[in-house]
Amino acid sequence: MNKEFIRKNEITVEDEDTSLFMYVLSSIYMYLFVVVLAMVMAIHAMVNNWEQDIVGSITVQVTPVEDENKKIDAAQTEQQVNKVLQYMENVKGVQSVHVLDDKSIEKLMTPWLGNKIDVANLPIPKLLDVQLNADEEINYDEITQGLHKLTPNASIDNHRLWLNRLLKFAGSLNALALAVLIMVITICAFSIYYSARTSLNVNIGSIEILHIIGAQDDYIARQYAKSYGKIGFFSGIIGLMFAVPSIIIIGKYGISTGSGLLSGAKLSTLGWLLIMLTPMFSYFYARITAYYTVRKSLEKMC
Amino acid sequence: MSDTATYQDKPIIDLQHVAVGYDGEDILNNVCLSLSAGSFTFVTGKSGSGKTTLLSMLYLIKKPSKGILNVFGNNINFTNRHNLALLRQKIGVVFQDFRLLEHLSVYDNIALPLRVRGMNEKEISRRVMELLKWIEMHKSVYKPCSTLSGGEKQRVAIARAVINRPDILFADEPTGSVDSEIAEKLMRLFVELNRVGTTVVIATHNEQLTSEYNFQRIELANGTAKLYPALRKI
Repeated sequence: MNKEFIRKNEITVEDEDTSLFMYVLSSIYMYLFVVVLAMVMAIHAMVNNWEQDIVGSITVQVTPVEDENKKIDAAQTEQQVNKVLQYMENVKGVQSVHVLDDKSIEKLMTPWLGNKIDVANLPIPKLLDVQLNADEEINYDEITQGLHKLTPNASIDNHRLWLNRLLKFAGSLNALALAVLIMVITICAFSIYYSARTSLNVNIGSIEILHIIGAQDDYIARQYAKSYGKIGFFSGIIGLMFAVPSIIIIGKYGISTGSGLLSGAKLSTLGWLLIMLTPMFSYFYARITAYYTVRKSLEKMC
Repeated sequence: MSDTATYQDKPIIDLQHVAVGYDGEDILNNVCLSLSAGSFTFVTGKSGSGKTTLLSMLYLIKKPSKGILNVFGNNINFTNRHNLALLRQKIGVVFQDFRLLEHLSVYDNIALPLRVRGMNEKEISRRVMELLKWIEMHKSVYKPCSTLSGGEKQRVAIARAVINRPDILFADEPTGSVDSEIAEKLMRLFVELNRVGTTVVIATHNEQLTSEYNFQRIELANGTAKLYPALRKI
């Protein structure tokens, strides 16, 4: 298109220093927004993962038997584990039972005790992973009593007990992240509001001319909406460009800690799609905020 | 100018005991006058007598602090923002300092009143190009107004004021910053617009102009306004 035919806006928000300030500020907000949004979605995925992992399973633990010298009696312990295994296999509603080997326990303990641990010589309980039939109800009290009769060293570890604590923690974390998200959006709205108000004062002469020639407030507000929409969109792109590598790095770092707990904190395809759509969200958000700010301000101004 | 006939039986502008001013201080008080459709009126008075204030009220950018102002039969005190804008679309204004949007081109400045009315770009282009030829600025179509001379700016300002074929044309000291030859040309243009039906109101302190063109005159003095009829027909 011929340069001469490019129609300029009557209100020149984009030529002002404030627009550069808005680009920088909005890009930072969008960066924060995208990172926190990813965090919210990752926490959500992590909680879902926890729930899926433990629904339909319980763990029975058998503490090691000690001899008179307070040393672990491996043979006695093994005997008790076998008794518990047999008992659990016959409980109604149990699908399968298997004893976790030292390697599996070592893997579970790594996040807390590090890589170089000798499970065999540590007073770590033997663990039995019990898979339950989904459609059958389990009487946990009966199992607890049965195990106690068998050996006082055996106890049932219902995952729900500690999962509830984890869920509460994750819920708090999610609420915090959501609060940050809302805060970022609110601050962003305030920034647009004050920037648009400042711009209205800067352009008061042009606005008066537009009013004199019969422009409706809607006409002027749409000019602002167009300019701020552009700022919103490009800020969204810039924010996204910096946020995506950050999310990938944080994600890799989280997984590299080796924590089984964090391994579920991954973004789904839908999550990534939502993140990629943030410049569009930013565009409409900036447009709508600027439009209503200008409409309301004009009604008060003249 | 299609609606002008509507106002033949009643004044196009009617002021009843109107006061107007700034920051709670009235500059003009108890102004009572009526202008009929198709009339040509000078607004005269010394500097600071309130010519610009009166005009800004008449082109509906200021509201009277007291009294009743009727424009096109609408009581402005009870007209909402939306309708006020619609009324302003039937008015053209030429300012002494032109008040063009300097960052826009000649074309975009002239097209402005049509764009705010939502006219399609094809029709806008046709009308603007026609007017640009008339003001002999068709070679400066895409020049930014910031690069124009004073005389060119004035022609653009006049083109912008008349492009939507207004029912009323206000001009605030239009001959104030031009030489006598251009002033004469401008006056002939205003008379011609008036001849085709536009109500013209010109604020001026140029006594030579008011004596040469014998139209009715609103004289502002001592905070009030008095309408003097034309002495003879020209």
